[in-house]
Amino acid sequence: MTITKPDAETSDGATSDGATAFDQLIDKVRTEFDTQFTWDYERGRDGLNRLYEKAKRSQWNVSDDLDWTIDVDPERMVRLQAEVTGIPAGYPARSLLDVKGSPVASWNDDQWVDFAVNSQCASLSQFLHGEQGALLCTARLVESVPWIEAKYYGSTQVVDEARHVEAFARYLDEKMPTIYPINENLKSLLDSVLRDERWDLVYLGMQVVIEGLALAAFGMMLGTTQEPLLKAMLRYVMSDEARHVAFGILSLQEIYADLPADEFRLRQEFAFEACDRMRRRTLNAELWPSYGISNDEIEALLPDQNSQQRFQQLLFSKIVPNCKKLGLLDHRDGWLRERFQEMNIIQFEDWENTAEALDLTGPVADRELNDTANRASFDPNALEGVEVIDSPTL
Amino acid sequence: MTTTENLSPEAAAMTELDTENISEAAFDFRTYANDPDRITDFSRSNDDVNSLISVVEDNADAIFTWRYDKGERANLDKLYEKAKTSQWNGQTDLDWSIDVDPYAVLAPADPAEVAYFADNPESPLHKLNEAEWLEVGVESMNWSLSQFMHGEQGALLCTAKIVETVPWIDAKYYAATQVVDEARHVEVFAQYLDMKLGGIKYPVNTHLESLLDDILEDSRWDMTYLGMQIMVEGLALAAFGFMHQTTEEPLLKKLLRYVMSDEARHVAFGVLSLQEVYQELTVAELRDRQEFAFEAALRMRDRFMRQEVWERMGVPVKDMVKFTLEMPDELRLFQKMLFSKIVPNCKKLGLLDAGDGWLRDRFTDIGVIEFENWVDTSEEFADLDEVAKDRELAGN
Repeated sequence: MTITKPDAETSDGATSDGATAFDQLIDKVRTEFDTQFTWDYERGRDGLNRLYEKAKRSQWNVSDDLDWTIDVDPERMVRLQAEVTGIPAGYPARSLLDVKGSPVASWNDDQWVDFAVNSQCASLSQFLHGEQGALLCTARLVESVPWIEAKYYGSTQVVDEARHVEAFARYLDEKMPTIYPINENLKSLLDSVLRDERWDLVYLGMQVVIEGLALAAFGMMLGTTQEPLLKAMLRYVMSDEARHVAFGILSLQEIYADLPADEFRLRQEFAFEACDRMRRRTLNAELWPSYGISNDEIEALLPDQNSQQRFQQLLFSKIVPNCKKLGLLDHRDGWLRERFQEMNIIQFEDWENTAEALDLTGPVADRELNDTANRASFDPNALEGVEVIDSPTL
Repeated sequence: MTTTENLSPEAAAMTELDTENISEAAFDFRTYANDPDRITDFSRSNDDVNSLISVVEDNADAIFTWRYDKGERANLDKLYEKAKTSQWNGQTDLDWSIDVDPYAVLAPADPAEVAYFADNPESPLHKLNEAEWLEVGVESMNWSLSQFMHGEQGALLCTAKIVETVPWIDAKYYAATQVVDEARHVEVFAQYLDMKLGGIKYPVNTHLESLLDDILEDSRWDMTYLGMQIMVEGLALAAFGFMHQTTEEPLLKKLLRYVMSDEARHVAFGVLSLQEVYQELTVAELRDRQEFAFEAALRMRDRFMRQEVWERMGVPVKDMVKFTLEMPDELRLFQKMLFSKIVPNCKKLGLLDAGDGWLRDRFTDIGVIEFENWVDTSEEFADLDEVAKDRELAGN
């Protein structure tokens, strides 16, 4: 399963030249940062220590813990989802039907089902690429963070992210019809996180913004799909992601406690720019061109407030409360609060984080439940070993 | 790196092999390798244990790959699947309740080697009494484990770097498991030193540190592999094996056994990856790798001179280095054994004989070429998986 970037395709069949073909298959990001050794091996940060111990026990294996024999019929999956949830296939893009002058006004249900299948592929593809970005960013964090506890915990996240790439890549390859290249906005955000020489911004960009978006997007997909393999996969991935976000919050709280005001202001701006970049993604931008419709046409149809935008706002439901928790919202007369107001996402500031509930549905809990089931009686204490870290996100 | 700031200019210059000299056929590598001044001038004081952070610039490109075909490199895929099922937990898989008497941990030293240092009137250790000899043993054990621990941190950072820089998805997957392996190794060595040996007494050895820095600074991703996976890990595998054989302390024995089963995978990862890379390289590019390997080998050997121990014990460091270098060949069992993995792995990679066999000559100069036909690690890593063996036993 290989993706050729559309912009790298040349007219003269570059694939005949091995080297050229290979160049299209990788993207290099020039990075300049300091790798830091720490000679202080004392494990004094209890929150991070507990997160590390928990991560060790919550590992799972894509090859063994998911049932890859499950047959997936993408079209049936889309139709069943529409039937069960009552949300029509192709939503929210489908609401463009009603807009005056819409190029999709004449589409019938079959066309929307086809669109929805591709839309699912596009979402899963962005999850896949985002996980690779997370893999690289987390490896960078292991190199550059000066705390031994964060290096320990970060190493478990590296292996988590590799597992996520593996899972999404395999699902797309074995179960879905197509895969899409990385979205430009996502790529530029990943690049800017990787390029930044300040290690705490890797935390903010990766652990809070990108992981926060991912957690919300996974949650939405988990809430609507009926496909059992995808459901299990998302549930397991999310149980890892909840730890990752907690890692970001725990670390940044300590860093921000000592940050001078002008430095703190730069973090507010970084958070805003990252969110803004992710918000500016056109809905289903990867898809429209293959249906003969340009993204400009779609953009022109989008009013300020409609169902699609509300749908996209939900993606920020994890980021905003976490920014509040970190003090980023209200620093400097609430500069970031104002920006989030303009983006219509401030309403999430007091949303509860659902990490706790997610945690109990993780792979370890499943294994313990299975063991208990085998012994023919369910003991609620079996879940004792997986109690949630009292992370500040909860 | 902070250390170079503390060095005299001459000493700093010694941190790099003089490449102009290297190209001259007349350059005497044997003398260069065994020059006590070269080894001791570049030295760091034990006081540096108080500096908490060292910084190295990372100059490599992070690489995204859009080719997600898992298993395209079947050997690496197999290694990844093996690594997933051979994970262990530093807290729960080792019995930390075992009491350790540091004096009982000591490996019975090779009597012939002890005799060389104790009986020879020119030896700086000639006048040591029994209590002082015990002290040498206790300090050396703390020193060895401290260096292992620092080396594992270097491995942690290098492997994270490989995840970022290698362009193959199978290698990114596998390397991710190695990152978590290395974190576990730092964790268990640090805990052993802290709980059982009265704390970490020794800062990272200068030779080891400068090698780690070079590996981290290099922008060519295959150099990270060569430096870390082949040289540092290869030497570690041999050194751990030696300590594992000689110690009777049950906690340390099991700790080393488990660490080694991971390390064997790591070296195999290096050999399998570099075999593919080196097929594409020119003779000149291979020569770069040969020189890098030789310099790394030298530094790894130099680090085992235990300079920091002698400094702490008030033994003249340069005299001790000189005396160690003059040890008769038949007594150098340990020093030679350190290369028992590196040399066959370099041979397997074609580095020994590339070009005019430059690296073969250098390994001959430092007296370790005899290992060239020993088993290479890509062949033996599965046999070394002690974690899997223990689990199989427990399951039966």
